[in-house]
Amino acid sequence: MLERDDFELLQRQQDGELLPGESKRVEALLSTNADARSAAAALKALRETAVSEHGEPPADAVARIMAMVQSAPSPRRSWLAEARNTIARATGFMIGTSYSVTGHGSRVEESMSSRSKIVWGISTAAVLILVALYLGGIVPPAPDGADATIGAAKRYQAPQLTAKDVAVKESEAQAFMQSETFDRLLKDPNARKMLGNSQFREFLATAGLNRELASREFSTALQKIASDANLARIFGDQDLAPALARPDIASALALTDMQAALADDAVALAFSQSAVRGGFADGKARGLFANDNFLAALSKPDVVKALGSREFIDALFQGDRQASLNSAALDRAFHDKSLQLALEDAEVRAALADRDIQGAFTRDLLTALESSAFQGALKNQAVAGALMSVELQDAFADHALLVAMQAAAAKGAFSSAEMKAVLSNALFSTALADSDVALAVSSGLMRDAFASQNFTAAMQSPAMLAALTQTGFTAALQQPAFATALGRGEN
Amino acid sequence: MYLQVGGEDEDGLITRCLSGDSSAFEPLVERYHRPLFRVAVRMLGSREEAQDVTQTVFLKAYQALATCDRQRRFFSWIYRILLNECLNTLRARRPTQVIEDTMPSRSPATDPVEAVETRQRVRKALLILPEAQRDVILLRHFAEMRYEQIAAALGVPEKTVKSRLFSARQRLCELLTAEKV
Repeated sequence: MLERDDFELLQRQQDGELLPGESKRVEALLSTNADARSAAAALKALRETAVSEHGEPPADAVARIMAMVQSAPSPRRSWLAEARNTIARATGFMIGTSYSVTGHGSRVEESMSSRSKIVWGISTAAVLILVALYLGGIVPPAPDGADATIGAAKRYQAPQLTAKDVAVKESEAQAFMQSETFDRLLKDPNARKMLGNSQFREFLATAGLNRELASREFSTALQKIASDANLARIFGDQDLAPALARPDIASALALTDMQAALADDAVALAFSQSAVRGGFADGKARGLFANDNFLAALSKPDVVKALGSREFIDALFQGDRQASLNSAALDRAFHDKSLQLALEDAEVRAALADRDIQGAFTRDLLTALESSAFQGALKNQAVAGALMSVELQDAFADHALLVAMQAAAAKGAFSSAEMKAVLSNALFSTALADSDVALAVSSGLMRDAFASQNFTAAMQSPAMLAALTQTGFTAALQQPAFATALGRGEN
Repeated sequence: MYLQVGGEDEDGLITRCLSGDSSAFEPLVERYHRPLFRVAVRMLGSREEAQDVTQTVFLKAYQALATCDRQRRFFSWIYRILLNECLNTLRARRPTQVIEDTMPSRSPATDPVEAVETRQRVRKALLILPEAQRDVILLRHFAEMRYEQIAAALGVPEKTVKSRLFSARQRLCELLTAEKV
């Protein structure tokens, strides 16, 4: 092992900087120390490599270079270019290329030209939005003309933006672009993927969006998307990108409620769930975003609020239900206005957030969600408890029953104030919680009964509803024979 | 703050270029083309390629002048472009193999084959070094710049340059003596 002093001595020798008397020290060192000889040989190899011949440029090198320069377009002052330069520096290390020379991977910077492709791939819109995000709003154009306008920069790339639309003070923009936040955003592979998505950029560039850039909430929402690895991954997903380009989704994102929802930690939390990430990442849920009804549902702030519920997300994405995400049932469920209305109800959302209810929906939540009756029942914890019954789940999963419940008469019955009173009646709920009652309800006969106009008409009868609220009647409901009789419409 | 080039600081020259005066770029070319060419030729082992790369780098730098970070030295910016261009050239030439060496050795006593192999090993070792260490080696040995020039180019204290150079050489020696390249 070579001592530091000895190595410094050898370096001075290589540099021709030996002090008087040190030559003898070098000789002595080399004669007695094998490591010193190896080091000296290596330093010599370096020197010889470095000073190999022909190290001088041709005499006309400057003239040649200047001839090329003179024929090239003049460089222009460009706020946008400076922004891109910042991006280039920020992203530079991310785009390093492994250059293998001997089998050992060596991380080196990729060429400027290759980097440029990526940098230029991040459009003006991306820069604009990042700046806007940081600033949390758009500063009106300054009258003294000292400020660079995003609008002016945008005109260079995309004429749909004008100086009147948005403007950012250059000093603020530059400060942001030099900030750790900006650097972190651009180094984040997910954020970069999102920004690199042409359709996402189209979304950002939509004409109506410019006005929304002025919204602090919108900025906050998008900042959350951009800075959150999970959200960025989702919004950068190539299958989701087309959705973002949709005017209704863009408009939805511009809604205050939607922004609040996206900015809500609960949403971030929801999307941070492994089940959700898995759903999006492995492609199982990607089909959702090709589904117009699902997208339409997403444009409803309350659906987004529901998505902000970890439990609801779990219900949608966990276990076997992942397989049904692309099902016609989901299509119908999210297309169903009653579901959307139900999701607007805080109680429904609270019910959906209930872990017991989550546990109950091991069969087909989405099919059940189509049912307005089911939605009404969700508001009652006892009913929710009843839904733990496998039999009842079967009943709700039964398409025939749901069809029956969708029947106008049945809908009327279940949507009536009286029926709501029944559903919220503790005794009725208790009855439903009984497996025998649930069995009765799930029986084919009961389904037939629900499908029967006479039965549903009877259900609307105040007398029948009043009966349902009576302890004795509900107690009777627990009797299989009575339930069977009900199913036969023999009451 | 900015280096003086022909009586005018670099920032002033860049400003003139950006105002459309391309002749203001010439002092920058005159000042820096030599060290850049030296680095290129010794990295690439080919004068022709080094010449092409140097020209390309200056052209790219000129066209992207607006993006030059004025807080840093012009040289450190263009030097970075050059290194990237050289590495890209090497990669394009032969992605997974050793670097070509078409130049004869300066030491006639050395076996030419052995000399070429040695230079190849040194270049491979350089690519393994951390960037900061590689920079000082290239600038000191390949571009033959003085410590104070390197310090000015990289925007670091001279003491840092010396310290990095010591570490870089030490690491390079380890790589070469351990036959790791």
